[in-house]
Amino acid sequence: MKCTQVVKHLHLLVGGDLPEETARQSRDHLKACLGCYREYQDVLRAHESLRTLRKKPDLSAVLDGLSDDVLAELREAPLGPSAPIPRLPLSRVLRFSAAAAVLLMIVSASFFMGQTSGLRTSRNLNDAGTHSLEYSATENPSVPGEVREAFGPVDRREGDPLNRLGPQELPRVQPASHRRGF
Amino acid sequence: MNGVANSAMVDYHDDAEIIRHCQQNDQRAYTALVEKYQDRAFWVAYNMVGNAEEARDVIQEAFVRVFRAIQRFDFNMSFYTWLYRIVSNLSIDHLRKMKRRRPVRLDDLGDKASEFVEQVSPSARIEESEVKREVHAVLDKLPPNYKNVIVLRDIEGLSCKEIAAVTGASHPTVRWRLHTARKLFKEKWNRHQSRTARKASPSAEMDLETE
Repeated sequence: MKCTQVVKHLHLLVGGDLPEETARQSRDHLKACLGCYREYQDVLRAHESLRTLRKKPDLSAVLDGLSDDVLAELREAPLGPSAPIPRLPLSRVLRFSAAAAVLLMIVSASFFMGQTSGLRTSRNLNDAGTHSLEYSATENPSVPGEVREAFGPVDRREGDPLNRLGPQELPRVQPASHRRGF
Repeated sequence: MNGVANSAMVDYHDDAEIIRHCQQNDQRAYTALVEKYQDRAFWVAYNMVGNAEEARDVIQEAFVRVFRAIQRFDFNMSFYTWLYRIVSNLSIDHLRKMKRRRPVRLDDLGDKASEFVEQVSPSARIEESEVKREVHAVLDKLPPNYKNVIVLRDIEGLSCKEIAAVTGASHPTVRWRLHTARKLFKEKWNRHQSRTARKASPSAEMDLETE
């Protein structure tokens, strides 16, 4: 077993919480490795200090009359299934409600934003000449006039001629600034 | 309590029998159950909250909750696991509520506590109580969940399996928490010890500062 592994196991080894085989291997390593053994001693010292709390004095004086106090408190409220179910404090209820409201707002906002961005995406795709049945490219003001003229008016029965084109078939049109000779 | 016979007069065989009597609203059974488990419950609470008066309040509340729900007790599980769970959870809640508290150790309880504190020789008692006070001071710095596993395992002596039943966590989780808790405790304990040593020998501290 390597030193790094043994050092990881030390905190469980001192309390006897390692599986038997792992504990045996760790102990064998500690017998041979001085560095790990020193670390083990350090861990053991801290653990021993905790164990001092195991020694407990007699509590009869401190706990005198506890059962009477418990019974007195029980007498103030009914016992058994008819006992009132403890309710959440109002502050906690309000906190939960506020969190739920905020969450609902975020969900609905993201839903509506998603719809709007979906429409935008659809328009962008149209501008790039991608096939779409829902958007008429010849009615699109961003499509240059000569392209609209070249393809004629929209025939509603056949659909928009521009929309029937694939992305590669869309005629390349020079930007407006070039056409005007700038 | 008026009209309630001493629980010592009633001989119950086991917890299940006491609980059955509790379910029939037998007040002697209530008393018997409290007297049987009050010490163990107190130590769990005391080591968690670090204050004798508050620990007593915590276990009183725990017993009240136990008796209010006693009709629904599942006889497949052990009573002390159930009680420890309630005490642990109440102690953790208490710690979270009372972030700043005035520690009242057993030594500070005056006449009541002195009855048992005086059982050992004065010098040994002072030394022992000093170590205990320091250990408690370091334990108080641990997060409640880690403190809980250390208290249950290293002080109360419960097995990891029992702690898993008390905390509702899996066995590997308990072992991992225990490992982390002991590691944290060791780091804080070593820091605390070196600080105490520096306070005890100011010359050494001055030497360190000049270096």
